[in-house]
Amino acid sequence: MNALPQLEYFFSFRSPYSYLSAPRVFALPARYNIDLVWRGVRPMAMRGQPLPRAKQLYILRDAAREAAELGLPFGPMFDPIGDGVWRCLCIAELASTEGRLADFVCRVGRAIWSEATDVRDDRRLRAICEEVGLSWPACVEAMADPQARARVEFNTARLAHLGHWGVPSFSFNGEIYWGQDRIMDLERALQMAGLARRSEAA
Amino acid sequence: MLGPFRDYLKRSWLPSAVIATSRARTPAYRAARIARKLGRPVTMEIYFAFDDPYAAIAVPALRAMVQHKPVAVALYPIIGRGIPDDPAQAARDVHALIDAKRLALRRGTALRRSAPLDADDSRFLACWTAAAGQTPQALAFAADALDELWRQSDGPIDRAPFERLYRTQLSGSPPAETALQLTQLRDNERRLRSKGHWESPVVRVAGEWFFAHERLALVSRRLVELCA
Repeated sequence: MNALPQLEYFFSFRSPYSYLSAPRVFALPARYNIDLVWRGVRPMAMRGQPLPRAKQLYILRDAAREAAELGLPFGPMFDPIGDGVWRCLCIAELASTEGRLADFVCRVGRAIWSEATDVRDDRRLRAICEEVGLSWPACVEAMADPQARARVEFNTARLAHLGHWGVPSFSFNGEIYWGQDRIMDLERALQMAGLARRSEAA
Repeated sequence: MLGPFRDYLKRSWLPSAVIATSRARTPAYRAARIARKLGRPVTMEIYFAFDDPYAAIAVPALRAMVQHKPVAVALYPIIGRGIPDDPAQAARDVHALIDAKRLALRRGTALRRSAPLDADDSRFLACWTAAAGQTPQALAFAADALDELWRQSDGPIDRAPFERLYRTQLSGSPPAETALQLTQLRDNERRLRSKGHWESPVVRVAGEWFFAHERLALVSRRLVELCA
C-alpha cells in the first residue's frame, strides 16, 4: 500500500493565527488523501526572532478581525509564553499518539485565545485535558518527558531547515505556505495534485 | 507582590484590552464619518516599496478600488522597511515573491519576475513617485510601474518602459534623483513607523492598519462603510 503524501503543519500555541488555522487544517484529511504531520514548534519569541511592539499590536488587531470573519471566538486571552507553551507542546505530542490531537489543540487554543486561561495553572489545564479525553497523570508525565521536548526541538529545527520562520506554516510537495489565510492556496495545490477525496472533487 | 500582578497585566489584561478596543469604533473612525458627512473625502494612506512584490498585488487593486469613490489617497513610497536586524529577512524576500505569485493567481494574473529585487535598483521609481506629489496621476503611475516591474518584466531593470509610463501618466520627463526626494522617502518611512507600522504594502484608513495585499476585501468594506 502506498503511503499518503505528507502535509506538515507547523504550529505555535503562542500564535493567534495558528489558533485560527487549526479547525480548518484538522479538517483537511477528511477532504484530501493526505497524511497530516503535526509539527508543534517553539514560538518566534522563544527562538530569537524579533517581535517589535508595532507588530504585536497589529497581529492582535488583525487576528481579531480575522476571527470575526471565521466566526471563531477571540479575546480575552492569556499569553502562554514560557512554561505554558512548553506544557501545551508536550501534551500535544501525547495527544498526537492518542488520536486526540485536533481536539486538544483546538480546545486549548480556544482556552488561551478566548477564555484567558493561564495554562500554567494545573487545575485549569487538567480540566481542558480531561475534557478532550486525555488522562491527567499521562499529561503530567508528558510534560516532564524529555523525548516530548526533543520532538518539539526537532520540529522547530525542521521549520528552520525548510528555510522558514513563521507559523502557521504548511509544507507540501516541497513548497511552504505561510499563514492561516493561505490555506486556500494550499488547497489549490492539493487539488492540483489530485488529492481531493471523491466527494470533494465532485 | 507586584510580580504576579505585572505578569497578569502583561500576559492577559493589556493584550485583551487591545483586542477589545480594536472592535470599538475609534475616534479616528468617528472623525472620518463626520468629515464624510460634511462632504469631505475619506483619506487612505498607502505605504509601499517598489522592491516589494506584494505591492504589485496591492497598489493596482487599491487604485481600482478608490476609483469613483470619494477617497483621497495619500501615497507614501518608501525604501527602508521591515524589522531591524531580522535574521529571517533574506528568507522573507524569497518567500514574498513565491507567495505574491500565489496571490496573483487568485486574481487571475501572474507575476513574471523570477527573483527578488534590490531596493536600490528600484529606488528611481520611488523618487519619481515622491516627486509627483499627492495626485491621482501619481497613484496611476505607481500602479502601472509596479505592474510593469513585477508582472511584465524580469531580469535587470530597463528604465525605458518606466520613462514612457512617466510621460504618459505624469507628462514631461522623469526628474533626476535628488537629495530632497531621498529625504522625502526617509520621511515617509519615519511617518510609517511613527504611526505604528513597519512594512510594505500597508494601508491606513481612519486610523486602522491593513496589510493591503492580503486584506483587500476588508479595506474595500471599510471604505464602503466610511463613504456611505
